Amino acid sequence: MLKTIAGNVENPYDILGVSRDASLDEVKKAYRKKARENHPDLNPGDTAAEERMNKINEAYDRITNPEKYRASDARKRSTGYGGAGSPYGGASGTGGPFGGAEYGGPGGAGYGTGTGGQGSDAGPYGWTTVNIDFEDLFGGFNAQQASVHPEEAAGDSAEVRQAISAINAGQPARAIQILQQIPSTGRNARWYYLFALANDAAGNTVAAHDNIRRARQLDPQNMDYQRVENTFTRRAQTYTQQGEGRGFTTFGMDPAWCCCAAMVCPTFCMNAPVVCCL
Amino acid sequence: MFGVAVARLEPLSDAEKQRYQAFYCGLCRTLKQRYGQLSRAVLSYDLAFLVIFLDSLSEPSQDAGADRCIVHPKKRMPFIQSANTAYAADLSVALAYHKVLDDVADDDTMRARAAQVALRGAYERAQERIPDECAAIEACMERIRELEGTSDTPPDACAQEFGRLMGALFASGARRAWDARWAQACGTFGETLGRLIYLMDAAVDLPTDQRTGSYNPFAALTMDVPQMRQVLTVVAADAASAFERLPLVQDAQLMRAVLYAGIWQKFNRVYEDQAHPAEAPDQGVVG
Repeated sequence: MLKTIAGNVENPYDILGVSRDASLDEVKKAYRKKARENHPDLNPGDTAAEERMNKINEAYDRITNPEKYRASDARKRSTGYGGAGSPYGGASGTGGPFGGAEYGGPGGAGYGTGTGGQGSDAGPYGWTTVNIDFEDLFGGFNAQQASVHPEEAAGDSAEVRQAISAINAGQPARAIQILQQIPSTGRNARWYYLFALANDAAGNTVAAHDNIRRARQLDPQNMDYQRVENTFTRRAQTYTQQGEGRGFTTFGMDPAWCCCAAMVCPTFCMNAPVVCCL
Repeated sequence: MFGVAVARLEPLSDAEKQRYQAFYCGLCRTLKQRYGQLSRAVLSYDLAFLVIFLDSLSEPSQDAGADRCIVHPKKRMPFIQSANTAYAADLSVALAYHKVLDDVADDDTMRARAAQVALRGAYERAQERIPDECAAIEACMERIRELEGTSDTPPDACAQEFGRLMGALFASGARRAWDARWAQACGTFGETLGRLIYLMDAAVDLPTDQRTGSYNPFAALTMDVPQMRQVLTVVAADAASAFERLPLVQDAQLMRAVLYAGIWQKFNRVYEDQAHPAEAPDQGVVG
């Protein structure tokens, strides 16, 4: 746990041995160095190695997933809670950063990132699904989360209010269910807008795009709808820029892949026995 | 599902290209060692990506060398093998086997049936080695088949299913390779990658599926190619974001060559003429 005896959180940058304005690449390299030095597998018999590794992991997590800690740190400051809040700490306690989702070994931590501190839906294989807001990571490590919290409006039906409530409570699956119960006669631009938000939060990206497009078609002047569409556009742009920064473009293709339609292997290649070597 | 998580080679240096190929050759060697010559039919660059990923995560010792083989009888090809290559080899067999089962169910060609018979023995051995993962693959494929056969399946449902499978396989890989504490983050990445692979494949198959009347999540939607590209870019952004949060340094450029560029190649090939969006107007360049 990163807390010092005084209850202040030890600086994660100090733990990793990097400066505060270190780039993400530098942070990763620093992590690697610390991991090589401290990983328990590489330090058999050193019982403190496990504890050091926990600290290093948490420091890295704090730097790369700042939104996770904003909420829990704020809570701890206000309640004076000084217990086990580490995502890698014990499985006991009142739960992880988003309150209620426990980390229990291989079951996975319930850390929901992205829009509005949502919870996560447990998957069937023993770990939880999350949604990542790409913009959050590359908007600088201290960027405010650009989450969309829909607000109730006059004229909203009871179901619509319930759906809005569910979205803001981080329960997109429930919101989707509620909205689907509204018959097609009740599906106006606002319905498509809320359905888009719920689907986006649930990771249903295709549905989110399709529905916000419909909302905008029905009400092109609406600023809320435009704002949502803009967040999608920004995420796409950030990705493209990141790629270009590394020398990659999303267009074009290598001639080497042309020889094999399946891009798999020589034997089952449609042009067999052409060898797909580079 | 294969052929999407491949690298874009053009921006890579010769050393990087050679290293990328070496992971592929290493996977091939491991397949041969574990399953015999026939198993090389299940070889893919996609599963080589998994080796690169797990090796980057755990930085294990790598067995590197160069050797001749049946496909390269004259030139010694460099290879890289590590403890993670075995897991990728087992998965290669399992995933290929289930893909063949799918083909048999869909088309029932002689070729598909022959492939099923050929891979049956290897699959049984894979089941002994990675029983949970094989069960997960089986369950996922079955659920996807159900979803594809149901009307009103939401467009993301199958992608989510496949995403969860990839998530589980990556989480399991992380546990085996490195540390259970990284299972969550690696699983998240696997999940986003799985959704991306499924949807990219769906976009690529759309023209064919529309002709044959096969299920396709994009079929019921009225999206043009630029719109499909936009959606896929956001899905790719999620995968890239999850990747960038991981402390991966070794061979990061190879993995980025996949995530930021390579994944688009099949799409670009199919939609060559329509892939480019309208040129954006000049943004504030003052004369």
